[in-house]
Amino acid sequence: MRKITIDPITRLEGHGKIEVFLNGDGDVDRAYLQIPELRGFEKFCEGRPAEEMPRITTMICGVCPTAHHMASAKTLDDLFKVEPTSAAKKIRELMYNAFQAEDHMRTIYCISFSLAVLTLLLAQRHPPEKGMSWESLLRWG
Amino acid sequence: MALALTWARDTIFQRVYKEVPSVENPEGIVPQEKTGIGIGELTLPEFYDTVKTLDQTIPVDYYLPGCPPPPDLIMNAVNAILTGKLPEKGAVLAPDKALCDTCPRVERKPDKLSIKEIKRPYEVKLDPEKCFLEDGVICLGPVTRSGCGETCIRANMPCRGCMGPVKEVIDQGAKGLSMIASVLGLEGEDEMTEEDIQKLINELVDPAGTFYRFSLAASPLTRRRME
Repeated sequence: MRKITIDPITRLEGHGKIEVFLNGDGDVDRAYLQIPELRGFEKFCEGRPAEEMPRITTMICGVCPTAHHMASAKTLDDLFKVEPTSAAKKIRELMYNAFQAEDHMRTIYCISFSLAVLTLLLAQRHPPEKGMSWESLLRWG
Repeated sequence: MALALTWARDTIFQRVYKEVPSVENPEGIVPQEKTGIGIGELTLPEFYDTVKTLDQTIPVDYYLPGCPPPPDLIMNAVNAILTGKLPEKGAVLAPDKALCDTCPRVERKPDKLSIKEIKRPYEVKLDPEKCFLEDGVICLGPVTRSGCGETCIRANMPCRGCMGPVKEVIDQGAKGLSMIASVLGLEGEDEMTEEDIQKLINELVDPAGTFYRFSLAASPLTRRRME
């Protein structure tokens, strides 16, 4: 039984750890994804002014603050029993669409694409060898 | 954001893993540092009872403030690294001025502030040109570092201090509280009874979350005292 640990996962927006257990033949027996972080927002948001939530929950994530902002703004609509005006709804929709475009660009250029380019450049310099072990291949990638 | 310091670790675990509406956990399983899974063992790092700042944990070369740091400050920092024109180690890569100095509403900031009543932002029809403090809405501009582009203020929302304090200030929250205390009920202070003063102070609903939202871990107060 061999164990491969990938910690941290670099292709993830946030923190993650993967443990892969290999059997005697070198095949994957079991794999685990762990999220080794907890900030405590669920608890520390309690008792604070509700109207501050759109600017507290946005700090949950630097990649998707807009989603958290939107969720808490909608919760406040419900809490204060108000219906946003048509203009307000359109502004929200525009903001959310802009966020989607931003988020996709970030994923492509900062997380996936740049790493793909880096991997290709590395592959040119140090081509992977036939019969490379799982572990070194994962590290290499 | 280190507001988790206002609760104990066990309370946070209890809430997050057992009580929140989105969790179904009848067996009451909480994360353990070590879990045996038959074929091996899974490990997790210890969940500390204290949230620390980065510089309490590792040596920090430079600080880029803001939550999130503004793009132009990131650009300046990258340029400084590339051109080798970095300031002395430990410097904050942002202007060392209070937000009020660069605030678009600074001209409307009264020379002598006096807060008669503390208001929550939704309780007042906020004038987009008027100083928030003039309306009794708490704004951390006087005790917060500038450089953010005043984005919140331009969206008609008062500052909550994400850029941290200016250089000389150790405790942003205490500085903010002292700033508010000095202008609270300033006019007609002599005629106020103890009850009037207490009533005015009680209008401040969430001092920890308002004044220490971004600076609790860096404050000498460190955390809520546990009995």
